[in-house]
This record gives sequence, structure tokens and C-alpha cells, in this order.
Amino acid sequence: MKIDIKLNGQRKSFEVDPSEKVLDFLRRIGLKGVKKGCSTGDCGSCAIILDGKIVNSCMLFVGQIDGHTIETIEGLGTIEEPHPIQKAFVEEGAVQCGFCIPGMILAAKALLDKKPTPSITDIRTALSGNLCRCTGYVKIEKAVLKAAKMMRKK
Amino acid sequence: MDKKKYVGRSIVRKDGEEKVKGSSIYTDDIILSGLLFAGVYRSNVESGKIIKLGIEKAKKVPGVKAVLTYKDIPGRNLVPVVFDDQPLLVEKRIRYYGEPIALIAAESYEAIEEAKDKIEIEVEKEPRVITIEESIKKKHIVNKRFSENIFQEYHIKRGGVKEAFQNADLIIKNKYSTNYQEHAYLETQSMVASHDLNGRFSIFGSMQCPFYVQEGVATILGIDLSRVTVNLMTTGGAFGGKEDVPSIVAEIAALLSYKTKKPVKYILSREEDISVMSKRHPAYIEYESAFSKNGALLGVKVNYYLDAGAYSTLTPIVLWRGVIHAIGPYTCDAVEINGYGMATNKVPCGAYRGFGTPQIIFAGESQMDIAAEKLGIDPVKIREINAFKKGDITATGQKLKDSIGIRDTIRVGKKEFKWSARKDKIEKFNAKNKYKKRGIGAASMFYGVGLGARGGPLQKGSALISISKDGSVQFAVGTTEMGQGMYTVLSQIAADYFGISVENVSPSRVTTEKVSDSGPTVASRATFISGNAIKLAAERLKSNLIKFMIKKGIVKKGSKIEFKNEKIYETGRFIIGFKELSEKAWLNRVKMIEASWYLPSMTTYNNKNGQGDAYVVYSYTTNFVEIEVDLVTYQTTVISLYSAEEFGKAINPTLAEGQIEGGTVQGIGYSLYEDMILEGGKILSNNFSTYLIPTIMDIGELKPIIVEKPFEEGPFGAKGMGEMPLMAIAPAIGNAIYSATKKRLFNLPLRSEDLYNEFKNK
Repeated sequence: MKIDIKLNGQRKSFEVDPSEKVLDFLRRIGLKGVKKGCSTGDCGSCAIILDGKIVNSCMLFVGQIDGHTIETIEGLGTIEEPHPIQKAFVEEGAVQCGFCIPGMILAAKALLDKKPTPSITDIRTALSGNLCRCTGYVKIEKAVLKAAKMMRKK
Repeated sequence: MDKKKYVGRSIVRKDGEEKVKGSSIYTDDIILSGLLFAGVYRSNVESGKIIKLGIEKAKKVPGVKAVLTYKDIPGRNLVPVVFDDQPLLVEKRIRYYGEPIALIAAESYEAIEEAKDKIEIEVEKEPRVITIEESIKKKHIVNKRFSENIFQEYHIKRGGVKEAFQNADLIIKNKYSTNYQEHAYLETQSMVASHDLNGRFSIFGSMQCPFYVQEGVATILGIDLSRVTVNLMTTGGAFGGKEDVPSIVAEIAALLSYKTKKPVKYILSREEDISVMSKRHPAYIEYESAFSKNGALLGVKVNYYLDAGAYSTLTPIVLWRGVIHAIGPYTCDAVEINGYGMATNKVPCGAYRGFGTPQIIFAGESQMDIAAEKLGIDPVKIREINAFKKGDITATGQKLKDSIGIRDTIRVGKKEFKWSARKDKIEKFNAKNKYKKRGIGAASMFYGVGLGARGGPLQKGSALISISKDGSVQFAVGTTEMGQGMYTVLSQIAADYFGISVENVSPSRVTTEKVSDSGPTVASRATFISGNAIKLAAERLKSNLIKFMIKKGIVKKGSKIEFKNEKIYETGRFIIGFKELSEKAWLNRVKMIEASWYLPSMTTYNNKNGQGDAYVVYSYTTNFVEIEVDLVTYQTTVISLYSAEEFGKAINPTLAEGQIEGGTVQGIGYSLYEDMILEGGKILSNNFSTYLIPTIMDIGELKPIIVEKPFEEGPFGAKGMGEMPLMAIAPAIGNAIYSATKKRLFNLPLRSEDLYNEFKNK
């Protein structure tokens, strides 16, 4: 089938097999920032923003995203000017192996786009679907708080 | 002295920006033309004999390019580690559930699954050994080569143990057990193998030990080591789980690539990864401690059993580290430690952050608290009474000389945690609350940095450094970046030796082509070994530059030359910029590349009597935790956890904190949530729905406290620290649960149902 989607700000059409997982589809078209960590919807490494909400792309079929808006890590910031969340993650030391980070940053973005002044509980709830085995989450939480501040100033 | 510009500063990671943009290239992101995918057909019994194996139908599945058995191996059917007892592919005898039998290369994963269904097999089931107890009783011999089911045993004896126990005021004897722990690195095991027409193989993958992988691939293919190049891709976490088993993954990809003449990618699914890759050994421990009434540890007797699984892999070394550290960071003149690595018909266990030590620390540090209560001594006080000080002797008879931080971690941690004030607060809280009870607990540990005596020929490291004509510096080392921040830390060290900006220092991607075998990236050794190797190579390059300046009359022979602030100074006077000097040196054909060879001080440990210096130096940690137990659900929640760690010098404090926080949370998982459920030898909890690792909701307040006590032999005083943060979390939490409930749990993880049963059985 043919699908029309808004992908990282651009309208695009693809001829697809509707039963392909969105995770595999996005990686196949070159968006390798979408990571495969479990394929059971548990780890959040493949998280994308779908119509403003964070979802695990391994749990969706391509046929389901026709007509929808999708953001991946590749859509954030520019080469010269990273998104404030990306900047804050680097500055706060919130990154180690990096495998969970695209999903983690998108989960943070989905939160901050709706809630510019989140509480710690808001942050923990928003990131609770994203597993990280390296950092212990402490610096990730700090980075999200810092990013929120940076974004409010803009 | 150089002006230390970067060491000790929390600069941002070298690879931070590419990682937040999602543009780092992990192994699964590699695209090569003609790339095939790999799959493995595995055993579905724990123990048995293959009577018949038919692969012809599988070969005919459309898209399938190869189906291989052990008969197709051109070299040795072996995964080389220590004892060389593990075949890559089953020949006749199956020894664990999920053991590889046949390999498949195909154009799609669908074709691989179809081919697996078409493989015909007939297996005669044989008796199986599942528990340590069954292994000790020799219910069945897992591998005839190890006739007692013992892969390795160690015995350490020092002092008059019998007398110590006779003279003791208090003897405490308990049994402890611990379950598996799964590494749960977010990126599963991944390798790509390709080869060119000249028979040279290139491996690209996720790993800790490129030189192990190189040996594995050369062994299975029966080719020279020099024909195998192993390249490290961005590695998505490891924690010990990518020490030895990546050799298996690479051998599989390489063998299929060899047969199909195509590049082959082998990426494990999460289920396959949890089911068949290595894990932390389950353990059974009998621990007996003797104390005087004033709290001095007089004697210890330990029997330590590890459930190794079906092959020995790293068990001989894992067990050794556990045995060496069995007493904890305490002086004790009478010790008897017996360690056994037992064979079972289960997945082989291997390295995991702490390497055979977290299990025994759980026992030892629980004993300490039990003694403290019986003797009416505060739990922190009893640790202060026994903690190592300069000149003290370890269980192996090693005299501690330098950089002994255990007392500092207790003192500083206790103060920051407000141990005494918290005690009062908790008493008030518990008096007020009927169903919620809070408790505090502490645990201390020490950690031998690097491989130690049992590391033998692997105790070495190499660095290759070159200076370009623009004054920028590139370095290559043989240890790997797996997320811990090695590229950044070593760049800081290199920048300070040359006195240049860290921006002008670039780490090379790790490959076996640039440096010689530098041993594995394990045992918290990368900063210490590669940092020292960088120091040596940098000194040679600086010497080349100084000789050149003397020859050209730029500086005088014998005067004090300093490299700092991107400039060169002679007895404090500015001479030339580093960039300008580099260009001049290049024009004059000065040698701008140097390789180094670093060997740490020798250890004297003798395996025959279990005595001698086991490690060059030790790092130290004390954890303090407050928890809350819900007496309706019996669940335990971490309220706050302070970890005071001494590891010489923190080259990059933020990165070190990251290690502490991350390790602590893995320790919380090991203590409370991570429980591997098996049916016989089959792992049932093989995904993140059933094997639960901590989320951001489970961490409480974490506080890393860095205590510095520089070690002379370390680069800028650094020792090593990556593993410590995980290792003594479980006993601290167990002790805190006791403080909250007066119930002691002797098995890890500290399950809610076990706590419930403790209450119910009273």
C-alpha cells in the first residue's frame, strides 16, 4: 500500500508492506537513530514521537501510521545547532553507551513540548518506558531539567 | 611538572554529540552490499546425544545460502578462553539448553526461521545436572574431562584458624545463595564479518576484547592471527557481557562468511541474547566468622561454590577474584577460603561487573552486620574497627603499602549520609507508621585493580601516538570504549602530557591493526593500563622533540623543558608554540610516531599455597542506603543511596560519577528486581517483560561521593573503578531491610515473597 506521512517535518509518500514494523521500516529508509533493543515494547530504544506522543515503533505496523506525523532523533536540531535537549544531555554527562539515548531524548521532548516546567515526578513518569543500563538515570533527569530551562528561555 | 589542564576536570564526552544525534554507528547500522543475515539452530534439551542431524531440507529453503554444522569448520571447533573445553558447534554431546548445533546464512530473517523448522534432529536425552548441589553430588558428569564436575578450585589458608575459632567470643555461621544476573546491555550482541579475496577477514562488532575475538576467528577458520582484523564499532554497553562471548558471535559470522563468500551480519534478538549469552554466576556460600567481644574479626572460614554452567569459559578467573576478596577490606589473621567452580548443564556463566565478587561480598557484609547486632556495636563502627590501614595484611598475605582508602570512604560517607541523625529519624518514622518501615544499612568492599596475578601474560598494554604537522595528536590503544568514557579520559591524559588542548587530541577507533595485543578491557583496567601506555609513548615523543630543539639550538641541553598551555617553556621562559614546533619537526623529518609497551608491577601470588601479592593495588567503596519496606506488599523501595568510592584520582569526575550512578542502579536491580526464572536449564525470563531491570522510577536519591587518594604508579594517580559501584549494593540493602524489619534474607535477589514468608513463618 501507499502511505503518506509527515516525517521529521517533511511530507513523504512510501510504497510499503503494511505489515512491516515501523521500527524496521524507519531503519530501512536510513533512520538508523531508531534502535532495536528488545522488539517487545519494553525498552524504549526504538521510541518515536507519533502525533506528539511517545510510542515504541516496534509495536506499530507501517499500515497504522498512514496520515500521521512522525518525529525521530534525526529530526531534532541541525548539524550546527543541536536541540536544547541534545545539548543538555551532552553537557550533563547523561550519555554513556548511547544506545538508549535517541529514545530517551524523544521521550523528554514529548514531555517538554507539552509541559515546559515539569516536576521530577513528571520527568520520571515520562521516561519510565525507556530503559538505560549505563547511567543510573541521575544525569538524564538533570539533563531534562536543564533542557526545560533552556527551552523556556528561548 | 606539567600544568594539569584537563585531568581532574569534567569535560564533556568526545562521543557525546554524535550519540545525542543518533548518528553513532553501531554494528547493526552497517550496510554492505550482498550482506547476509545469520541465525543459529540450537539444542532444546539440557543434556543429550545427537543421534541424527539432517540439514538438506533446510538448505533448499529459498533465500538460504548456507547451513553449516561442525563438519564445515576448517580450523578447530573451539571457543578459546582458558581451558579450551567449549566447542563452537555441538559434535555429538549437548551440554546445555540452547547450545549451537547448526548455523544458517540467508537473505532474510524469515528464510532463517523457515530453515530452522526444516532441520531434522534426533536426540537421545541424558541425565542432567541443574543445581550446584546436584553437581557436587555428581548426579551426572557434565564433561568427562572434569571428572568431579569441578572446573577449578582454589584454597587459601593463613594463620591458626582452629585457634581463632576456639578463642572467639562470637561465631556466626550462615548459608547464602545468589541467582544469575543478566547484563542487559541495551545493544544485544552484534558482529559483522567480511573477507576479501586474499583470505583476510575483517570483523566489525560490539565487544570488550578485540584480541580475544581475533583469536577466536583465527582458531575457527584455521588461519593466521595476522589475517584477522577486528574493528570496534560503537558498543552499546557491555558490563562484562561482551568480554568472552563476542568471540562466539564473531566465529559464527566469520564461518558463515567464509563459506558463502559474502559479508554476514549476526545480531542476536533479545530473547536469544538473554537465553544463551553469559551471565553472573549463581553462587552458594557457607560463611563462618569468628569475632572477639570488642568486634575484631578473628577468623573466617568460607566455602564458595559458583554455578559455572556447561563450559569453564572464564570461571577459573571469576572464581579466583571472588576467593581473593572473600574476607572484604578487613584485617583478619586466620582465614580458610575454599572456592569451587562447578559444572552444570546450563548456559555457561562468565564475566559481569565485579567478576565473582558481588556474591561473596553479599555474604561477608551480611555476616558483619549480624555480628554488629549480636555484639551491640553500630554497623559502621564494626567496619571501622576492622578496616585495612597501612601495613595491614590481606588474606593472601599481601602487605598493603599505598593508597588505602577504605577508612576514608567510611568516614566521609557516614558524614555525608548523616548516619546517626538518620537512625533517629527512622526510629521516629517507624514509630508513627504501621505499614511502612524504614531502615538503613551499610556495606564496604575492596577491589583489586586490573587483572592481577591470575591475568598472567595479559597484564600489559600498548599505545601508538602520532603528532601531525599541525600539532594535533592521535592515539590508538588496545582497550575499548563501550560507553564508560575511555576515549575521553585517555584524551585528557594525552592532552596533559603534551600540554595541549584536548580538542587537538583524537582517539583512533580501536582496531587490532594499530597496536599489539593489550589484553582485555575488563577488571577496571583501561584507565590504568592504557593511561600508562599513553604516558610512555608521549614521553618518547616529547623526548624526540626536545632532542630536535637541542640540535637546532632552540633550547639548551640539560635545561628544564615544560610542555604546557600549548607552548614549550625552558626554565619557565616561553620558547615556541606546540603547533609551530610540530611543523618545524615535521619539516626536519623528526620521528613523530611512537609506540609504547606498558607492564604493571609484577604480582607474587603463588597458586600452590594461595599466598602472595594478588593485585598491584586496590580500590575501596562503602555504601550507605536508606530503604522503605511496605508491610502490605513486602516490596522494598530505595529512598537514598550514598556511595563513597576511593579509586586514586578521578580523571573526569562527571564520568566517574556516571560509573557510580550506573553501577549503583545495576546493584539495586541485582538486589531487588532481577530474578532469572528457569525450568530445568531453560531460561524462561528471557525478555524485559519478565527479567525486570530498574527504570527511572526505581532509583530514589543517589549520591556518588568521590574520595581521592592518588596512587603513584597510576596515570596522574588513577587506579580503577568501573566495577566497584555495583558490587556492595546488595548487602547494604539486605542490611537495611533487616534494620527496618528485623528479618534477615540470605538469598539474592531479596524477594518480596521471601520477606513475606519470613513474617508469616514467625
